[in-house]
Order: sequence, then C-alpha cells, then structure tokens
Amino acid sequence: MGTLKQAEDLERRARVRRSALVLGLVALSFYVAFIAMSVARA
Amino acid sequence: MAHEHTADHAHGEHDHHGPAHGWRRWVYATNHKDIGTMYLVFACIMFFVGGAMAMIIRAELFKPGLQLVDPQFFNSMTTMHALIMIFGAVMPAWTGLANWMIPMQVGAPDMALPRLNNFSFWILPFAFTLLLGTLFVPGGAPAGGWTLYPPLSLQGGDGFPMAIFAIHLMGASSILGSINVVVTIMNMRAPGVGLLNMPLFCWSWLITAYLLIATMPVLAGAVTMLLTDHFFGTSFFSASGGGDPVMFQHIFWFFGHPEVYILILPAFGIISEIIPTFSRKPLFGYDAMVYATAAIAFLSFIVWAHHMFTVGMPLAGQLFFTLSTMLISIPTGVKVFNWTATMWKGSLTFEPPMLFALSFLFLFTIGGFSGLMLAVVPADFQYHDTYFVVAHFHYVLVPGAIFAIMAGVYYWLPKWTGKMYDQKLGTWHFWLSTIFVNVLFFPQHFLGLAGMPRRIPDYSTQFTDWNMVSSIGAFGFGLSQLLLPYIIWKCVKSSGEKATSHVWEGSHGLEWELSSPPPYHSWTDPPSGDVIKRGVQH
Repeated sequence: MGTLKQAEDLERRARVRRSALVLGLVALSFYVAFIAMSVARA
Repeated sequence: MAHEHTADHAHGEHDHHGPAHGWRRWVYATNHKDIGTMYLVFACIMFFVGGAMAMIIRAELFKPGLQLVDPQFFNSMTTMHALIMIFGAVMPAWTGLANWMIPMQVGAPDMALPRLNNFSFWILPFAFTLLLGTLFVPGGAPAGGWTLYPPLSLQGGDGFPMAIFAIHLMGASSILGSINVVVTIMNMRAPGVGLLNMPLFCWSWLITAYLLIATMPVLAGAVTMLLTDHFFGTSFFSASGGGDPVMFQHIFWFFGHPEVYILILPAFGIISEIIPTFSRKPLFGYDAMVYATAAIAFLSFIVWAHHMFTVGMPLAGQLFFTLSTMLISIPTGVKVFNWTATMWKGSLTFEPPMLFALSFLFLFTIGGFSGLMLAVVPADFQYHDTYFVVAHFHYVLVPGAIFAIMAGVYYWLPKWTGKMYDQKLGTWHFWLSTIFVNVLFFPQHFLGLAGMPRRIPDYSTQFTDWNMVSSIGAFGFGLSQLLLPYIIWKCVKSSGEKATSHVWEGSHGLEWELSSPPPYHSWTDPPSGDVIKRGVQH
C-alpha cells in the first residue's frame, strides 16, 4: 500500500511539474507572439 | 462539534509542524495560509495608498480652478491610483483569498508549488516600491493614464522605465500565481471532489487564472515594445518611424478587457458562495453558473475594440464589437438571475457578508447596464472619455470587485481567526460604504452626460455642484473604509466569542469541515468519504 501511495505521489509531482511548465511556455509564447506580430506588421 | 472533531482528528497528528517564528515565518513562507495572509495585508495597504491618491484627486476636484496640486501631479495621481488599485489592491486580494481558500476547498494540503507561491508574493513589494519610487524621480510618476498610450506615455521622465519594469514584475507575479492556481485545482483535488462539484470560487478562479496566463504576457509584450521605442530606437508605435500608435491600443485592450474580467470573475465566485449560505438554499443552476463564467471569459477576448470606437474603424468592426459586447450581458444576466432565484423563498438573514453580497448584486448590475450603454457606437462617441465612463467602471470595480472582496473577508474571517468579529461594526461598515459609494459615483454619470471630460484637474463651473457631492461621497467612503482594518484587528486581538467550525448556519463546503481556525497544515490526509459527502454540495 505504502509503495502504491508513494508511486501515486511521484506521478502527481511529475504531473504538477509538467503542467506548470506547459502553462509557463504558453505564457512565454503569448509574449513572444505578440512582439513578433508587431515586428511583422511594422 | 462532531465536524470539528473529524477535522481535528484527521490533522491532529500533523499539528506539530507549526509555523516558524519571527520574520522567517513570513520571508521563507511556503504555507498557503501564511502567503494568503501576506497577500491580503499587502492588498489592504495598497488599497489605502491608492485610496489616498483618490482623496487627492477628489479634493482637487471639489471646486473648479486649481487649488491643491499642479496638473502634472494630478495626472500622476489618476495614473498611479489606477495602477495601484488594479495591480496592487484588487488582484493581490483575489490571490490572497485564492491562497487561503482553494486548498481548503478542494481538500488539498497546500498549493501545488509552495516555493513558487512564495516567489510570486515577494515579487510584489519590489514591484510597488519601484512604482511608488517614480513619485520621487525627475519627471515624476507616469502621468499618461494607466492605459499608457503612446506617444504621451513616452514623454515621461526617469519614472518611465521604472514603471515599465514594475509592470513586468507585477505581470510575472500574476502569471506565476495563476500557474499555481491552475496546477493546484487540476492536480490536487481530493478524491470525490470533481470539477463539477467543486465550489464556484474555485471555478471562477480557475477560469481567471487561464485569462491571466493568456493576457498578462500580452501587456508585458506591449510595454516591452514601449521600452524599446523609448530607448532603443524602434518604431513600433511611432508614426514618424513607420509605426502605428493605434496598434498599441489594440494590443493594450486585448489585455485590458479580459483584465476587467480578471478583476470581477472571482467576485462572481464569492457571491455564489455567500448567497446560498445566507439564503439557506443550494445555489440555483450550478452548471449554468460554470458555463456562464466560461462564456464570459471567452467573450472577453473578442470585445476589446469597444474601448476604441472613437479611434475610427470600419462599420463592420463597429457592428462586430457592439454585438459581441452586448452578448456578454447574456451570461452575466444568467448569473444575476441565478443569484436572485437562489434567494427566492429562501430563509434569508442579513449578516455583513450577505449585506455586501446584496449590495454587489444591485450596484454591479448598474455598472453592467451603463456598460451596455457604452457598447452602442453612436452613444459611445458622446460618452467616450467623460465622467460617464469613470462612473461606469467604478460601479463595476468598487461595489463590484471591492465589495465582493469585503464580503469574502467578512465571510471567512471567523474561519481564519477562530473568532467572531464585531458584526454590528461590520454592518455599520456596510451601510456607510454603500451610501457613500453611491454619493461618490452616481453623480459622475450626470457629469459625464453633461460632457465633463475625465483626467482633468479643472473644469467648467456648470459641473461644480455634482463634483462637490461626489467629493463629499469620496471623503465619506474613504473614512468609512478605516473600519475594515479596525474590525479585523479587533477580531484578531480579541478574546471574544469563539467561532464554530461551520461559523454560519447555512454554510457548506470542505473549508467548513475544518476547525476554526484551521490547523496550520490542513488536509494532510485527504478528507474521508463522509466529510466529502457533507462538504461537497452539488
């Protein structure tokens, strides 16, 4: 049981890290995309 | 008592991991309750700093002519008041409430990323020191309005790059905080807490967090380009170099309109918690409330140009932005209807949280209606940049967002402190706030309709009477807000009536299954099936 709980916990930590990174990348891409769009337009 | 026993039993064995002592507890804080408290204290301080600036503005406008400050400083006050209230008071207050409540409401031991949480908070004092520091540098604080439109904003002095850097820091703090909220709600819910039965405060914050992640980088991009235009010779927004100043307005409002919903969506969540509690009925139309919140968030991305009708745009653009703006009234109407239907035939009582929630309901709706008037292009041509717009957005943000924050604080304060506050004083705070907020902002509709422009320190004499009334309302409103920190301080310091775990007779939700105050580490073991059954309401 303990090992199962630990495995679940590790899996959840990985999921947390992964989703945080994806959201961070989404934010970064919005930042870059709007500047790139303005460069293209100018 | 049985409930308290459950919570204490579940967490008693972890209680020895208490908080650190002294300054270390706060500087190195990773506990969601400590960080939530810091956000709320910070927001309260900024509320009074921004409020003091509002007092300067209203004192200057008490009568025509220039009496107290010079026009440049007056414009700095309007700009700084807005930036501080939006980014320093309302947004951190929401994040503070999210920090305190979301883990307790979803049955999680803490936010998913506690150290990131600490970092998100501690960015803010540096950002606002920098922003307030602009008041003391040559050229003074930014004075071009919170919208920072070029070319005016580019004419600032040494304060300009400081303000831009401060805005970047605020944005970074908001984005990191939002990532934490999304990741917590998506990954840390206890078994049995599903997406469609979690409290609406969590739902509204989840949607707000996505809005923040999508829009704050857009603001950051816009101000980065302002910075390069000013210091590195680019011409993004400079017509003389082939750029387009109107493009800044499009980019700014692509951020700016969703930002309005970032400020108000968590309020919808809180009101959806409070009205059922004090009506002693479940919320009417939970699913519809969730879908309405999502619909408002989606629509907020396709209405931005209604802020720019007077800039000039093709007829098709005018029609599109008018109609898309009006569409927002449908999901918003669903919400107002559902709150009213929740109260219908309910067993209502009027404690301070409910009073503020009811005031929100009436006064926010007035702000919504004046927003509809502004969505009509020919009418907007008349109202644009007048005090009618000032009245509109203050009705949305003061008795809207700020009253909802106060309602939330009065709702959860006994849970946080384990003690009841002075409800009589809270009721006084409510009545004074509600009366004075209307004395302050309602006459501004008349001033705007009569043609008084915003962001000016002087005005034509026909506007004198309503300006005096508005200023008296402002001083009354400002003074009555001092009651809030006093009530909180009195509650924290008093050895008065202890709060039960459920605090309010009609309250439902996992946070009410914990003792009052909750253990330093709550839900270190997920809530049991029985607790979930009692605490999850839908």
